[in-house]
Amino acid sequence: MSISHKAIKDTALIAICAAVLFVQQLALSVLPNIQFSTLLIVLFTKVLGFKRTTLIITIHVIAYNLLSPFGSALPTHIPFMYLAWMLIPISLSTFLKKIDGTLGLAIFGIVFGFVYGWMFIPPAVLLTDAPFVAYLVMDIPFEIVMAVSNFITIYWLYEPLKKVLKDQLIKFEGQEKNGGSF
Amino acid sequence: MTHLKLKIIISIVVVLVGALVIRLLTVENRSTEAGSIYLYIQDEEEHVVFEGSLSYEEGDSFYDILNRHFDLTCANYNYQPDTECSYSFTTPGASGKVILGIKGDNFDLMTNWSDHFLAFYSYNDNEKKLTTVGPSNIPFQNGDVFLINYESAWE
Repeated sequence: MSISHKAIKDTALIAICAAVLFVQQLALSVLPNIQFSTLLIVLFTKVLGFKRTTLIITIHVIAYNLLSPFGSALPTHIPFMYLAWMLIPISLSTFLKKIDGTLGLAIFGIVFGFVYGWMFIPPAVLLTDAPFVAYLVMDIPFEIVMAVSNFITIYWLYEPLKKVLKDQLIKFEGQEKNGGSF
Repeated sequence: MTHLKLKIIISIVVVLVGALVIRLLTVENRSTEAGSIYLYIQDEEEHVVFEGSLSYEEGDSFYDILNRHFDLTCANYNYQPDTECSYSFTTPGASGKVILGIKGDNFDLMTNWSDHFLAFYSYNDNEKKLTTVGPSNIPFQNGDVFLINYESAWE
């Protein structure tokens, strides 16, 4: 496959994955902090790699804040939203690279549910003058909901989705099933 | 035990633990005996438009006290004004009423949630602190002092 041909296929793949991530988050917006975003970003990181996942997250954050009918996040919060989602590929590609089992990733999802909430404390407290303790306490229930949601979705759906995505990726890249580099 | 059964048990345990922790964090604060609180209400220019003692009965929540003494406008599920205050939010950890407006004999404060809102403060040793829960769940005791302040979301 030529470099330009591969780049076109990569671009299409990234766009499709970003669209899936965007649509599911939008569809589940009515349920606070219940979504498949963490599962999908973990999946993309493990199957597609760091670079592709970074581009997917970049597109997702921009698209979500431009197109969401529920409105954008506060402009001061958007960089922190991006950074929060980027913690998944960064951590799973570096110091947590060895976590590969479903249960391990599901437990990572629990921790990430809290970390994601804490990532918005600096802009809330420093830039919009929200009181630190009040914000911290009020956010705990939402962090718990996200942590449980992350655990359940990763624990039950990561393996089957990983298998499907890998199979599709092999077909997509025109490789023979046993000759891939996964 | 099969792998599937173990998976189901682990999932149920995680959901139950999450639900239990949220339940513990959302204790409904109701009075156990009659008493009174002292309340200040300030408008957007920080003028005190109401100041006085409000009595309450056994079993009242903070919202019930306000509802007994003032005309309240709450938010419906879409954060639109609802003068009947018939809707209660059921979000885990953030359940109860959202008050958009409060009207007394000599004042009428109405917010739209997006640009303006009513902030609830409690006083502790003359220091005011933003409450960490909404009006349905604010803890109170006889003689406690509170402030309801009309605030802009953009300041």
